[in-house]
Amino acid sequence: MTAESTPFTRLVDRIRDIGVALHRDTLLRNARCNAPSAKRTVKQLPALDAKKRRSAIVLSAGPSIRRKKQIDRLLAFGYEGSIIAADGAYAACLRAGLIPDFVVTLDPHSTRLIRWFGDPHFERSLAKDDYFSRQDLDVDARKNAIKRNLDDFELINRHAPRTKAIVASSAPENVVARIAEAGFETYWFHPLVDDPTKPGSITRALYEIQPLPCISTGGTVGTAAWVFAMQILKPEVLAVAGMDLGYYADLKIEHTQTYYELLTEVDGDVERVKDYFVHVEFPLTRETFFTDPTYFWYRKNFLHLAKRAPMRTLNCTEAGTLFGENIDCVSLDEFFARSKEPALG
Amino acid sequence: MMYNTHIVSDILKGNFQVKRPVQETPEADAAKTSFKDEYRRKALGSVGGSMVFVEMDQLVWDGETEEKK
Repeated sequence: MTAESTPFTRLVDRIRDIGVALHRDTLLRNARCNAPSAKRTVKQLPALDAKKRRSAIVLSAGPSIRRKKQIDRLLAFGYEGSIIAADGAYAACLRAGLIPDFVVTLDPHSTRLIRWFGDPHFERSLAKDDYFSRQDLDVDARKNAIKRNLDDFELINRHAPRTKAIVASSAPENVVARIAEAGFETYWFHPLVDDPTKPGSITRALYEIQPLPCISTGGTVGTAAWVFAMQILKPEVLAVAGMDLGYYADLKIEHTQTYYELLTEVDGDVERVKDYFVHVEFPLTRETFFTDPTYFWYRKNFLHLAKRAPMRTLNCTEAGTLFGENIDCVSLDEFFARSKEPALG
Repeated sequence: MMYNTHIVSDILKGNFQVKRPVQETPEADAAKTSFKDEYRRKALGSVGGSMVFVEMDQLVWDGETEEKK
């Protein structure tokens, strides 16, 4: 990973502007639409008990969550701290019998995100979009996606009242309706998307629609969940897992999430498209992973925020591309041990 | 499944000769360009992440309350 200008770095540099052009109108529209539903903010969450305050773990939906059996290990350990699931990891937790304390949702996409909460119109959504067939986490689900969706739908209806939904004002109408129907208690925030003191700020415009606390997201729900945990829950020990921000080396690039989109960038040239994937050695395990421009951008943003964070973060993913200043890559077992240590002071 | 628009256009032209050469109108050319632009724009949208993010020092901001501190 060097700073020299390559097709990879040039595309990473363009992602911020692509995101602004893509999301600006949707963010404002969804915030207006959601304002009547956003009755409680994340600052109104009830106080946590001592064990939940002592430590917290954010579970993202990266492939390691399945490969490293992170959810089963949390259950086997009998972890008693706070569990914050990104929306894409929530159903996997329930299937294993783990009930997260919080689930965070952020992405404004109008047809994809509903899937994480059980899509009542799943077959129609699937016919329009092959996005989920490219999700590594859901390899098993490809074979039986319709049944899996129905099972998740019922499972979520059963357990929703035990998890608090942390909902961004950017969430699409169908996700907000589904969350309400399932019976989650909801707490709201705006995504902090730019500098609110600058003219033309989207964040400022969102705040003017409704004064909700604004949380930096790093461009993706897992990072938003981590900032929420750090800044709102304020645990003494904070860890992340399933935060791969990349792919295992044995995955074919054709199965990565943006392969076909990247192929468009190089006019279908299957050799040149390889320039958009870079390999990284994960320091804890010395295994090699690779990343694409989008995940590299998420990683860059996470590292930017970690540098400014008021505390260190334990990365218990045991895989992937996330390492850097203020981040300690440790095993999940090491996190368990630290979460049991008596609080300082 | 997505296809490269240049390849699809070439396949659709077929492998036979027509008696009268077909002249593409400027409108047809414009429509084709517009389709390609739209296709490329949508593709780039998927690369653009789940949310806007601009690097800044703050992790949270709570409007006027925050500014008064």
